[in-house]
Amino acid sequence: MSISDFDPEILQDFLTESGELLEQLESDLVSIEATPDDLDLVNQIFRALHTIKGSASFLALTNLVEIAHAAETALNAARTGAISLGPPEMDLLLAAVDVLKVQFEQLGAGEVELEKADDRLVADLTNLGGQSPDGAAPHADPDATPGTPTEIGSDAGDDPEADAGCERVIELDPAKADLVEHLVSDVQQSISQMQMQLERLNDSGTRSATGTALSELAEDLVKTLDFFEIDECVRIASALERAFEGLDSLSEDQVVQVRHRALAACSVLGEQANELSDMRLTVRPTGTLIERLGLASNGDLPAQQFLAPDTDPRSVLAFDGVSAGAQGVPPAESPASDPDFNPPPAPATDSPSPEPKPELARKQAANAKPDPTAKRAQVPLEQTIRVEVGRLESLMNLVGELVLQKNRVGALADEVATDSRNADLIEQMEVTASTLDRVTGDIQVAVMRTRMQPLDKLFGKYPRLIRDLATKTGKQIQLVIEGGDTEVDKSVIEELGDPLVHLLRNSADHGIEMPGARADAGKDPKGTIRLVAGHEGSHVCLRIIDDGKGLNREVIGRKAVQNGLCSEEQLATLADEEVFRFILEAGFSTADQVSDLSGRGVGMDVVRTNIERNLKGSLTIESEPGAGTTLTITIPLTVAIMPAMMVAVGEDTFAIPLTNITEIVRPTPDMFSSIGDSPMIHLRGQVHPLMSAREIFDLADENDPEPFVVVIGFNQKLVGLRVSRVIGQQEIVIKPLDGVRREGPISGATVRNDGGVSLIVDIAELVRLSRSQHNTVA
Amino acid sequence: MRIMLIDDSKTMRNIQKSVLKQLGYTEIEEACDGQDALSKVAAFNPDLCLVDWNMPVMDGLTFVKTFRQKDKSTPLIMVTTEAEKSRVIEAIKAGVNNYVVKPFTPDLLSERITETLAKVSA
Repeated sequence: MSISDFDPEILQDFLTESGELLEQLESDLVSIEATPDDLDLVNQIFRALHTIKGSASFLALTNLVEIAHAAETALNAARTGAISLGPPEMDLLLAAVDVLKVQFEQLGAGEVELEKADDRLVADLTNLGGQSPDGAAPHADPDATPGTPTEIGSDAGDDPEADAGCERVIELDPAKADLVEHLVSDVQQSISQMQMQLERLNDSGTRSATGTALSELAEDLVKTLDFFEIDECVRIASALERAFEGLDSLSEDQVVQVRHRALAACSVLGEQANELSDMRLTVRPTGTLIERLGLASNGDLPAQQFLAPDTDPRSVLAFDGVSAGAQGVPPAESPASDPDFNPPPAPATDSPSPEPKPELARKQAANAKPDPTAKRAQVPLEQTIRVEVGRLESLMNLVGELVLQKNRVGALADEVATDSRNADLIEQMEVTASTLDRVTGDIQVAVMRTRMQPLDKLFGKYPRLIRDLATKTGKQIQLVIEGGDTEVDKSVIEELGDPLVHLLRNSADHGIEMPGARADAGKDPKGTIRLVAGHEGSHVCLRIIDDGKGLNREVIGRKAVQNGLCSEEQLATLADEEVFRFILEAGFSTADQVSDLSGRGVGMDVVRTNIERNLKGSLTIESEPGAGTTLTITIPLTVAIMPAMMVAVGEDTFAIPLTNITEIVRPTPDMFSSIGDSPMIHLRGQVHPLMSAREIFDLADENDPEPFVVVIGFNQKLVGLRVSRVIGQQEIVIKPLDGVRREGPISGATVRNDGGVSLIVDIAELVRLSRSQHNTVA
Repeated sequence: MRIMLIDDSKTMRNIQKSVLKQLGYTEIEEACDGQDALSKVAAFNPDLCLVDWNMPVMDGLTFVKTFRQKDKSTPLIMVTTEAEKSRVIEAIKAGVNNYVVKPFTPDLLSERITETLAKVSA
């Protein structure tokens, strides 16, 4: 079966699902490097690869299966603890992920011939898994349609004695034939366990428990042999199963007889198992043995068929007429006739020797305790559906049309109101228009929301980026991501990807110093880059904060003059921030050496264009020599939804973004103080600037007291804002205030639950205001 | 003929579903792991289950064991990969009636289903 045989939708599903798995895989791999002992995570990674491989094998993507299989083999070794995942192993695994990514891109582009992974890589990965590459060649020949063999000699089953002594060739379905080696070793293992238990049967004290163990072993044997439809063996195993029930009620004499016959039956089964590995089976006359076993277990065995307690199984077989030499001359070379019969080791294969028990126990232990990563991976079926972006866009356009028509209906309603004398009609029209208005607004928000995606979608790729950069440059860099759950419009995600990569690269390459230099400067040899995102009013802010060497005003200024961007005189008057902005100019690079990572001066201007032109945002640079650089990207949101606290002063209500509120207090008089003319508030031994909403927003209501203080946190600074009333929490939709002159720190407006309009407090501006107030005093 | 597909990968479920549809089976219920399947078996009352081995939350083997405590007869077919084949015996002991190795052709799956049902009804 090839790709063309499948519904294109299935291929699409595969690309989407496996693509997501692959992304998750990559970030999981980077995190596992830090916590190599997290077995849950290793398992999760393994499962992801496994799923990708499984689906790919159906789609006959042989080259994809090959590399996925190799990586899976390596991970399996990590899963079982055979290897630990250090940097060299991670390099290989990540390289495999890279190959998979390329192959996915090819698939997405409609190519059928996928790039083949480097043989070295496949071999290295497979070696990690402790397998020879040849032995691990993936089974990916989906065109192999197994035939259905007819079972030759199956007529031997009805009358087992008829063909006694005949050797019949076992014909099995290829899938079952495939498993025969496992069957053989399993049967041998069960038999040796059974033999061990049978030895314990003499002890009447533990007989009941031994009987139970024997019953279970026999039951499993029946199930396995029945599956392979080896009737001769099933008959013996079933007889054993029956015999082991009710051992308790037997006399000592009878137990001895059961034990004799059971041991004999075991040796027959063991011999047959050996033959099975060669796909042949000798039909033996086991009727008498089975019958006597049954009689003994019922306590009905006649005394003349009793055997002495020390009879060996060989003699039992002869006595019961099973042995080829039914007259009591068993063939000496038969392994079954050896009283100390030990199952020979399973035929040599390159597969690990089966050890079902410990593996099973481990699995059960793993299942017994709740597995947090498994919970994370548990996605209830059909909780989400995938929708083509095109459909959402057309929905958006339709909503736009709807809004226009709604406005028109509103205007018509007004006209009707002035024109008509039918009061009933006027009222109905007004009610309808306002309902339509509300519903349309809700639809608009709902549709916008479908396009919102968490920034994590972008951020997920960066740990790998930083890891690779650190490896290449020999630096130690730690990336800390905060606010990945911040949701932004899909278009923002798309436009933001490249600029962020550029800025992060710059921070890692130019910002963070080599470990030695950092240590000399008294810093942690490990540099930290923080990527912080969050809503700030009607904006989304992204900050890239490094604790590196910072920007050098002199070097940048000199270069700017050289490049003719400004004159020496101009330079002297510029603020630091303005000088730093020169690095955003095209062709501007101060790097002493151009690395293959960054430093060619290509990029920052592209970053700026992307942010300023495409996203209508801004990029600011703050830097302190020796302490690091902070790049801030601020992007406006046309519509954003966020939780806010509604507060009021007099008649006016304001929305304060909840994420910025650290607490709301009702201060006692002794908490107020001032520095110069600036009012301050004491909170747990610290003093923070205090502002009054009435004063900031220039509200007339002098009489309304302001007993509450909303404590706002921004950029690690706290500011108190006095308000009259606290109304409560509400999800607000931010509407921009374009073309409206703003009085005070306002970032937008929102419609309240009751239909009125509230202004949204611009936190960034408010904090700046408090600082400038403070600075002018100080 | 009601068939329950138990697999954590939606792609895999879709592939198997399309194969089953080609074979003329239309009453299909899906579950994304063993736990999910256990919560659905009572309502769906499947005539046959196709169970993947490797799944989060509850894997196929655990599902089979739990399922078999209550239901001894409904046929279960384990869907395994080449690598899991060494453990098929374990699944057989737990109570699966048959198994099929991925990737399989529609013919092979059809054959397995027919074979399994015939054996169970025999």
